[in-house]
Amino acid sequence: MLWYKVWRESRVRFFLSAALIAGMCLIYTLLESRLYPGGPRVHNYTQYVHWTVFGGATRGVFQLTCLLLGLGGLRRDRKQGTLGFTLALPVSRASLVLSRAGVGLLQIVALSLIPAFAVTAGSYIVHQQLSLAYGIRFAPLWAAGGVFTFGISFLASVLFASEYVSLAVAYVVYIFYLAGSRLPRLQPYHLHVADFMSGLLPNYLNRSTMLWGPVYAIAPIVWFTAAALALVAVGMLATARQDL
Amino acid sequence: MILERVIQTANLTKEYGGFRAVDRLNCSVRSERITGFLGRNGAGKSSTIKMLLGMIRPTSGSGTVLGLRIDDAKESIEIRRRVAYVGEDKGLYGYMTVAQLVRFTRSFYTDWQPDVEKKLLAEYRLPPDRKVKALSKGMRTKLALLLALSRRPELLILDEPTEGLDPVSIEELLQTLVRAPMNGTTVFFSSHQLSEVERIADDILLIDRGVAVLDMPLEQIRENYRRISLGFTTAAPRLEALRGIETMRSDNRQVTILASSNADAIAQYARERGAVSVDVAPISLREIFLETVQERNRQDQQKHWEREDALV
Repeated sequence: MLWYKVWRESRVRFFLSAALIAGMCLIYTLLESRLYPGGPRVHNYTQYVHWTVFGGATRGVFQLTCLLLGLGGLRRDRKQGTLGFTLALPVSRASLVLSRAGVGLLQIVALSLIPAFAVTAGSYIVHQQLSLAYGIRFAPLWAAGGVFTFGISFLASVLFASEYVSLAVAYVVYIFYLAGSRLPRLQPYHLHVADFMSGLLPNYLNRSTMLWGPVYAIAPIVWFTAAALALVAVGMLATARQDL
Repeated sequence: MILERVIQTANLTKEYGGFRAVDRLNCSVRSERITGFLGRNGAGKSSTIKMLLGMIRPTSGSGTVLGLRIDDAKESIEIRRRVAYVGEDKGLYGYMTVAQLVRFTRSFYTDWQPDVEKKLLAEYRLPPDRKVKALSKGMRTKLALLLALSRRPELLILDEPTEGLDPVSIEELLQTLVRAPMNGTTVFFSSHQLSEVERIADDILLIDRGVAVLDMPLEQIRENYRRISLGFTTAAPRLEALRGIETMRSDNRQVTILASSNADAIAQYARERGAVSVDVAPISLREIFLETVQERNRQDQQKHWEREDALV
């Protein structure tokens, strides 16, 4: 039932995120004829979809929603005056943290699947060819990158009392992390989560066609997921030691 | 096996940074009785309760609830399974309906009693489909009590349960608490409403600045505590601190003593020292509370001045 509590507390954010991502995917595909920029960077429809959805603004919005989904927890309980009730339940703090992380993870997996279906449906309506398999291959990348992003705000929400501060800190850390991962010294390690989610880390997509190559991003998926779990574990340890 | 003491603490201490909220607290709560937990705001009541429930960790010292150690993570979960707690703010999940919250809470307890739940739902007239956030404070308190009592817990801990309630709701709540020990539930509740405590409590635990200053059955307090007013024809002589004297205030020819025992011997001693009028009178819990707390204030202030004088 802890999962039910977490779901009730985060479902509005989840549904808004889902609607926003689905809406963006549909707008980009249905209004493709108006929004298609042409020019040297975008030569075909697949490139256009990548430029707008899987490697573009929709991915950016998805990452922001992951930051938002990471907020909440016992600090929010405290703000809402329900901390006493929550902590009096006969469960460990680890269970409280894990339920939040678990629901967050499932929500992100669900959100990461939306573009594949929405883009395929939209493409079909405007008589464009884009297979479901193409979009589905982005889902694990988005899910792993999403839970990593979620992990940052999740940890921030454990460490900072105010949700606004948590979000601000998580966002700033995230921006600095993205900038840092572009440093020449760190570039060989392919740490840039946005590039990874776009399939461009290092070259899982053919950059000229934006079609999938023969190698899939198994290792980065494992690493980013492991990093996310590490962030959640740190959050769990911190929660266990906190005097709330 | 029924434990004689459901709560026991030994030198229980809680510090927040440099501030000591609970200071080597030694106390015990007897089973199947109602214990009133008294103290001023900031006296350490809520911190003590939170430590007992494993919500915060003691800085030092130890304690047991129902024989389980409060500083052991696993035993602490078991404590919360067997103890019901109604917090000061009665904070319940506002986004759930009454029925959803009951269902949610029920899922954590194997000893949940649906018949008691149904009875209390009807008795408290709680609308199952109404969101908790739409309930009045009184109704929220009743819902919190329903969630606590539907399990027939071994120990019921309440932090300021009557705060914000109307007189009718207070009366209903007190009646509920009075009946609880009959079902085998020990009640431990903090309150600022001394008249209510005096009405229903069997035992009194008074803490001030984190220290237990009174831990005694109410009956014994009533029997033993006396205010002794002494009048002298000249300036009052210096009186020895006999056994039982808790506080003593002297105002020229008048001396007022708060005695926790030995009142007759103290009166006799005062007569021997020249008191021309000796009045021994029973004293209310409110007066004991005020006298004890104010006397500690005076003593602390005195020590503070002495320290400042020494520095000068």
